[in-house]
Amino acid sequence: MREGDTVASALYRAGQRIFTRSFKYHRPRGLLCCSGNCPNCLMNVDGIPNVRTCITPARAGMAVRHQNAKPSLDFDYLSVAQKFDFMMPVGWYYKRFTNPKMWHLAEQQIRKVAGLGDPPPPDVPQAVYEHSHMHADVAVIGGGLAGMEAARDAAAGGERVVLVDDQVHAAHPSEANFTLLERSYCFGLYEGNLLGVVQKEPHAQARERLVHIRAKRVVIATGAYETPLTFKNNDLPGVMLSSAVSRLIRRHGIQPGKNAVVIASEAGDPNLAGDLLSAGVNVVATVSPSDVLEAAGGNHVRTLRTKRGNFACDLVVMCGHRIPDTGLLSQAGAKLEWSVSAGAFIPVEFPPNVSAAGDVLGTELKAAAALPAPKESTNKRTFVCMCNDVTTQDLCDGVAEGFDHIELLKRYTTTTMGPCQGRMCQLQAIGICARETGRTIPETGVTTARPPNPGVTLGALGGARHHPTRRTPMHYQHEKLGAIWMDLGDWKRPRFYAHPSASNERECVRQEYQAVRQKAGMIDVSTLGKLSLKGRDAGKLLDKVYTNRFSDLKPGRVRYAVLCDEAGIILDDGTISRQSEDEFFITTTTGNLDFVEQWLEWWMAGAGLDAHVANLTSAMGAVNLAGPHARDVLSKLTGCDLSTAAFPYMACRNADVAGIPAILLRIGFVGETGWEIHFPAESGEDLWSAVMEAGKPFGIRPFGMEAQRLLRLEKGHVIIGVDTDALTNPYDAGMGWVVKHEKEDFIGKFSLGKLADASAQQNLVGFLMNSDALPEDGAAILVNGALAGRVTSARYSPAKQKPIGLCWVPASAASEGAAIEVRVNGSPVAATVTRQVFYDPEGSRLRM
Amino acid sequence: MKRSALHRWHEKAGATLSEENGWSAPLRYSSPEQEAGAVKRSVGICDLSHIHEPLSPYARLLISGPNARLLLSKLTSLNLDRNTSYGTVAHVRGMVLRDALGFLVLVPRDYAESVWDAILHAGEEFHITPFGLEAHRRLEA
Amino acid sequence: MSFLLTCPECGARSAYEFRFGGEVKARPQPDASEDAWYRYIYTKVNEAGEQKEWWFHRSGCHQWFQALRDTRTNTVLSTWRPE
Repeated sequence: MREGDTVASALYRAGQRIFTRSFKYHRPRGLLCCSGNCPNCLMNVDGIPNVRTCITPARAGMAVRHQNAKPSLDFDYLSVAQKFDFMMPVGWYYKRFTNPKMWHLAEQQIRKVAGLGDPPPPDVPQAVYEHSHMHADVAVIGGGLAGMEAARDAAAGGERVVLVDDQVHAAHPSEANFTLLERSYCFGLYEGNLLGVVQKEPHAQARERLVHIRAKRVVIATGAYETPLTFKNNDLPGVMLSSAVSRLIRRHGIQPGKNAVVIASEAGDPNLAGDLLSAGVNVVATVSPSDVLEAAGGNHVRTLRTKRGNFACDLVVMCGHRIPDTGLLSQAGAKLEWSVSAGAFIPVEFPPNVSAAGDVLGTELKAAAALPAPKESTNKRTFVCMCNDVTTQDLCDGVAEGFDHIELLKRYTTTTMGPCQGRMCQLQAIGICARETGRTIPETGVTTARPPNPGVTLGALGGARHHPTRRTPMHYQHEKLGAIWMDLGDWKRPRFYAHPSASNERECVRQEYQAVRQKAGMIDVSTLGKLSLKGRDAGKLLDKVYTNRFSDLKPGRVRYAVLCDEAGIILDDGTISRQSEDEFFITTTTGNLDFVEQWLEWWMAGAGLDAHVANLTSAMGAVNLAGPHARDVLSKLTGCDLSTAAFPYMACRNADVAGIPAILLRIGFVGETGWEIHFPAESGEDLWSAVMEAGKPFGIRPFGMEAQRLLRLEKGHVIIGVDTDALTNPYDAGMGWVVKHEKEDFIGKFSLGKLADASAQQNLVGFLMNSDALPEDGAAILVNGALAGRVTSARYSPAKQKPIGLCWVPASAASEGAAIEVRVNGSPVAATVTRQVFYDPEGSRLRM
Repeated sequence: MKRSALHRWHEKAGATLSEENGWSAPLRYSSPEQEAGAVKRSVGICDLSHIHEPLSPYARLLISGPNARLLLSKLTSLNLDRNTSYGTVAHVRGMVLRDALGFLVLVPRDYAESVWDAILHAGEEFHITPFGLEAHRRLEA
Repeated sequence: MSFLLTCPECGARSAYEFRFGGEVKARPQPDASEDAWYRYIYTKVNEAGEQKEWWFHRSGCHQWFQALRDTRTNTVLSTWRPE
């Protein structure tokens, strides 16, 4: 290995000639482009698949392995596939596998042999990827002569410039307004001049960084690159592009072969002869592309047969078509036009704030050989698409079979759909399509250019593996209490608490349930949405947006609130309490807080109301303290009169709890006397500790979401989004009473008016299992043997000593005592509909 | 005692805590001279959550040092030339304010630990140093 | 879809920072005909051209504003806060 070596050049210097086996036929492939444009050098490096070894700097200790060749690159037993090429014509999947069963069998085998690299096994240490963002006045893509000049000029003019180049630069720009991103490539130019750039190894700890660049204007200076010529066996190792040969010689000091044939028209690289001479390569002959018949050899080229004679050689140097790298320009919407002299599509019209410089303009290019390839080169060994082994024969057959539009021909043959994304093959494919359909090349056109091109790793797209997590103010106290966590969106909430006296989850939940029903329990409900609505028009706004009336809510009172849309569908529920004449405190469900805030803001936008919403969800924590001893516990911590006379059910008060200013709502989601206490988040730990301490003599237990679900289910309390869905209106859900039709106008008035009169198709009702079988949430409901509804929530009820739940049933089965069946473990089990609340139907426990 | 969302992190990092404005706040992790020096050389992060308006949802994190901007640009697409911006930092919606010492990142306190971790992780490249109120006072002087 | 929208408060930002709020439509009076309500709730004009629409800056200032956008090209012609 020498300094400056790429993995490929180091391997080549050591004598490696076959680098890959092709996708379909497993033909041997060697270095072709040495510039990262073709698929021939893809290998596994240090566990990373599909590494373009010709542009990857070599490092001592790198583990390099071949891909998709068994047992070795020199002898791949799957190369026998070539002998069966008659069974695999273009589109052969569609032709052969017309029987679905056959396809399923074949697919399993095809999957084993198809593809190139394999994903790294799970035990390979994860690499670090990151993202970053830049804002620039000018972004220049390509650091060659033209790009560097454009960047320097812009920087000198005071603009903030970023230059993206794939090479390493010895000297870096010194101006503060000029940033050079080296070892970077741009894969996409998106709307608003957003560029997607991958920077390799931005620092020691990271493998790749995805840089998002937002630029006021973009200069594309991506240059031009060389593409292969078409002749039989043009894919043999030893057949290389002239630019690849020059690079191996000049950059790496390698002699690419001993005896070479050069294929060139007039427009060849003038420096090539000098390079070959300096490397001691004997040029056996120089032939014109139109004279070439075929290359021949086994694993490596041995002869080039031409109309001028056959030449023994170990190197064929193709002076191929140079075409401008217009991918990014096309993505941006630039117009390309066919230039006969250049033999390429060159950019002629540019969208605003996008321009080009240098060879990508195509003005200096000259066609290397006649396009398209002549009809005589139609055979099954003249390769157009190296990535997917698509031959000139395949393309002609595709057109003959009716796929005569270039976009169809592309998809049918899979030309341009491999790792090179059309760089090596698109132009030849267009040429053949044109010739076969009798159209001109401009009439045939190009396929749509889309990002990412070149490809980008999923790791780079994903970036740093960081998932935002939300924690309540009492998170660490739950940890200490043995919380078993569950995720609710970004939030972490205790599902239940592990307890030394309980051997499993069921027992823990049962104990928590018993504590709330018989003693006292506290649950962290900080995740609930909390909004403050202030202003003279606050009540008016609430009347307009909610179904219930709130302008007549007295200060110190709380009311259940349901939000519907104009179609009468329930969007969310919660509570609204009036703090003062002009101030309301709104709670929402955890999941819908963002939506409710947006909804309220929307109805206020431009309405000229004196009303303002503040989102207090993160600013405040909250707990629900409930149970027959809740009052005993709370009264130790507050001077507020908690008696039912002074503080009835559905009232609210402001008071200090453990010295912390709090809003107390006497509401009853879990069905026991209790208070929802809201307080500043920074004091959450102190408040929780104080309550737990005060509750010790009464046997207070913290309770989690599982216990809460059970407690509320026994009260028949509906959870929006669990028991209701995107089609539920208040009448279906048995909440028609929340709709106050006499209000002059409110969101949903029209639809709800119609729904009130119509008979509901489906009803949300309670049910009791007739046996001990416990259904899952979502289980099917059968009426008279036919599928008729579903269970939304089901749990074993200690109060009823039977499984209970809520379910959707047709109106005909929605009456008290109706017989239904619930599917449990695949079998229908008898159950009975009930409209009665399962626990404390009169609600006396709430009003103690 | 009022607590920042980062309180546990400061405790685990061995910070010397003291009361500041009714809040428990980190005075120092090692020594104020070392912390301030590290910030001046590269970049540091300081929890200023105790500077708090009533009912504000935000934790307040100061990123300070010559690499503050580069570090932040790994976590936000905001144009950091503006004095005050609403936007997302480490995928969390908040605010970024320009400060005499660098950038103040305001994020809802329930996300604060998550964002603090993301900043530390992105800051590894720059050898980021958490610094306390004593170092902060030194830097302000 | 990374076109830029200029939030009246925060300046130009990527479209991904915003939530699309639908076409700007006049809400019928409560006693309007069933047909008027049906059209308001369920139908869209879906203009292929300049469309007046609502946007919410969900990753930023949490304000609603309106925009005039050419739906064919995603060119945003203007944005403003409704009076």
